Amino acid sequence: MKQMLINNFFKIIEHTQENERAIFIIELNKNHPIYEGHFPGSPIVPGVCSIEIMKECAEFYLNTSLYYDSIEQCKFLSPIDPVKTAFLTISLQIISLNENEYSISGTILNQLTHCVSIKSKVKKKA
Amino acid sequence: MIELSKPLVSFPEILEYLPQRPPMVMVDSYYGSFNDEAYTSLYISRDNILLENDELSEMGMMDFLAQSGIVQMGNMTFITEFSKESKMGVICQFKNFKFYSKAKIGETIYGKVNKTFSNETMASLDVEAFTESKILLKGTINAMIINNETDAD
Repeated sequence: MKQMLINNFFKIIEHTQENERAIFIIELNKNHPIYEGHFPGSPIVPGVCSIEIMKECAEFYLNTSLYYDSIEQCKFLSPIDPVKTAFLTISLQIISLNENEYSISGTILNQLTHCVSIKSKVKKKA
Repeated sequence: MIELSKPLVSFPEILEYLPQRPPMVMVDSYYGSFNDEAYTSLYISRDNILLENDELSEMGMMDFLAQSGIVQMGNMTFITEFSKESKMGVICQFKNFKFYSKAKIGETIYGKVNKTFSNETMASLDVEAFTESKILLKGTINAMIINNETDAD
């Protein structure tokens, strides 16, 4: 399973299960070339990378490749500076809808600050 | 109607409308606006940083639409504001995004941005990415408008 960002843009440090939520502690790579353009001298994790990180954590949890079918809502609540913030917490509720589909609701937290929240539906890649 | 073969703004001039810089620039042409509807495009090159298996990834398509919205909001503001303030759109929400298909290296994708609401601080944009033959992604983007830089004069 080849993914775009994991072990490159970020890596998973710890994975636990709390009630019905999958919890991940991830470490950002502040030297990734994406930050050369987003933004020069003021690196910020692109919102679309946050969305991809949550999908890749779900792929790790389910051990299968996924693609987004739809995003009902994704809120960008607080910017993430990878220089000031090395570690983030990803909290996902992954519910199987049928054999090939899952709903994923989740948040990215910087300590107690909610940075991104998402409600989405993903499907297994053929 | 907008003539999609003749961009009003192309790379590198389009950088005046975007805070992103290479390799994270995901819009290379702006075709203008007509009745609150604007069009953009991106040629998918082999060195695009958001490729996955020779296709523009979900991230790439979403960022293309987000940057298309920022370009349109910037253009809208520059034309209508008589102050010397430079303003920029900051994306705060994606809503009702539906993914239909992807485009490959060598294809050009187009963006349609339809402003459905705006005031001095916020805007809501219906957005759509497509190629000549298929729809790729549709959704709504909500953005805040912030002062990017103010001339002291």
